[in-house]
Amino acid sequence: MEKKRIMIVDDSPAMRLVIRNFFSTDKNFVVVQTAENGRDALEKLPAANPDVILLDLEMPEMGGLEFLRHARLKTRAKLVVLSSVAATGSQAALQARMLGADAVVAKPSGAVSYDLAEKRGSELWQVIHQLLGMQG
Amino acid sequence: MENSNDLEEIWSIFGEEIRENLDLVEDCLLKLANNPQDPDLIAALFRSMHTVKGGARMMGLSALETLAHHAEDLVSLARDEGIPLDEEMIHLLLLSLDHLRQLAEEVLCRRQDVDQCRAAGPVRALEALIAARRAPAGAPGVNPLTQVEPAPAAGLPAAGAAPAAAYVPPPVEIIDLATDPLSVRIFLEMEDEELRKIQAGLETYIEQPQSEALERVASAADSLAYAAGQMGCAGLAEALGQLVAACVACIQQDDSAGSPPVENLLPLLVAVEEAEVAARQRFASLASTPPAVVSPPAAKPPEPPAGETYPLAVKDAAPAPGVPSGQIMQQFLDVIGEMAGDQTTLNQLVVRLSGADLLGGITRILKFEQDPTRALEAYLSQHMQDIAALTQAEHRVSASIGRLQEMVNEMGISIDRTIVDGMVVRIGRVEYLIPIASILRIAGISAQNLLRSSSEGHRLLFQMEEQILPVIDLSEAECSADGLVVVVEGEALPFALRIDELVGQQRALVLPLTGQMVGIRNVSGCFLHGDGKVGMVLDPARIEAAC
Repeated sequence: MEKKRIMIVDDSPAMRLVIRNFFSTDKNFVVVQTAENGRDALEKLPAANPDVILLDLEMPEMGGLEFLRHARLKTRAKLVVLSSVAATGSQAALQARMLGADAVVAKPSGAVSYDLAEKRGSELWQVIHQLLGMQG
Repeated sequence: MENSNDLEEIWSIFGEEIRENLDLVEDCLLKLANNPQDPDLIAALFRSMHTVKGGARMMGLSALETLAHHAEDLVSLARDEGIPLDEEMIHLLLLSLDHLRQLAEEVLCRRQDVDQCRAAGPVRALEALIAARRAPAGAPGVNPLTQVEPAPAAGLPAAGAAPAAAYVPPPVEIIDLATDPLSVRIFLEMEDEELRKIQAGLETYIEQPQSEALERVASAADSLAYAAGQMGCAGLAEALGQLVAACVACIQQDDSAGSPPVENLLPLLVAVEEAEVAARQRFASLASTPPAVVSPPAAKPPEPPAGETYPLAVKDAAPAPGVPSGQIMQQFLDVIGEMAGDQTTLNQLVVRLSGADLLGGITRILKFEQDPTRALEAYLSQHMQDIAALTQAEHRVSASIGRLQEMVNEMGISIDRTIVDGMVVRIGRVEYLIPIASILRIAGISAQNLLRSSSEGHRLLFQMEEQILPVIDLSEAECSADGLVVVVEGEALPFALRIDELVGQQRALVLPLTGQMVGIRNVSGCFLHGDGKVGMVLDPARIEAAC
């Protein structure tokens, strides 16, 4: 099976690295591009041609909500918002859904505890498999 | 699962990130002390605190996360709830910053979390101040320093608690992009950009026919087709889809034969541009609505002059010395517009006068009018006015043609056949001009005169009196027993060209095809409509040869 292409959009280098590492453990995925904000992502989007975009909401220059408006017109990729406020059902998470985010998932936590895949990571993993129609 | 090298790298990057963001927090707070209501500073402060919180959460550092979360909540009062940031809030945030730095250095040194109670003091103070600021006016104040019982951290699991259940987002109604002003603006900007790429790609291909240029055209058209579909512009999406398909077909033939045909591309581009105009008109009112949030617009190249669409015919024109080419083009299009208006008037008068039964009218007046002299005078006067108006319109059209020829010469375009009297017909989505001189007859198709041969692959034939003529259909649609044919004189024999609509007669400025376009089948040149759009001039000899 062809590897699914992931793009990570987050202003935190550490979060980008953690998510990249998370997907490196699954041979079905490859992280093809990372971007530090929405504007950076828009520039890199045509060449990256991702299947899934993992998107933070709070970013400088262009935040996740504004990027979603662009993304709905400019990419067929599935749009997954990774938000630390998603679990609380915040206004931002609701707006993200209204703007066309395919899913809103809580950001991974406890990355250094060796069990990322069994915590928040598993939710992310499940959501992405479901969105891409992959067998878990 | 991360190995130790990965973890060390994550710790290292996290360390840089949290120190950098805490420095940004300090910078913002110091500036806010002098200008506490600056929304940009408040937004930047929130983002930095948010990043600190997210990083701590990711690393599983609960004390840092909890404290950053509460500090972020205090900032969000100013950012999201309209509560002004005051000196006390800034002071508490600076105290929290000191705690955050201390905790950060400790966890970075130990490479593990510290006890969550280490953040309890500042967290309680932040909770108390948040509650006080949110309390309605007149409610008893809360002194943060006397707040003893900590409230549970909102939205955060307590240390050691089981992970929160998976978040299941409630069903929401997704915003219709076509009604969202900001999305409309994004779409219109994208439309400009992608259309420029399409036009530039086609021009490159015409000059140097390599499939890379067509691939760029197809890519831009595909992107725009998707966006148009998302915006509910089905017509534009379909027209672009056809352009993509034609480009792909050209590329494939290019790969195999080395001589790519492009004759289908320009009419498709015309169709795209027509659909684009319709889409732009549809969004005209929304596009001018000021959006609530607008990002700084990217630098854009200057817009083409109003009315200019695909500058194929004059793209190589050298501007007159000292005069910008855009200005010449605008003048050129203005004259074309004037000429189109005069031509319409001329056509209407010709139709009215040629359809008038002058003798019958005079006979009726003489027979039935009580005052035939006055009625006859009025009747003839009206016709004389029409004739005078027709003469004036003819003069104006001739003058416009003269001006156009001068301007064309000025722009350095070589033209063999500048003006052609032609019949504009629509075939499928494209309008073509057929030179009047080559038209023998225009006739309707019926079951009686449309035949199908028993040989030659059952090709369609048109019976005109005793002649049986081949039917040529450029639209490639299934020919039905209705519609029209234009019987055109070929070099050897006449043939019947099926058309969908007879648009009207027009004296047109015809520009020759250049470069690779010279070899286009069926077409001898292009002509400019009154609105500046480009149409194709059919060449009967080439159609006949192709058949």
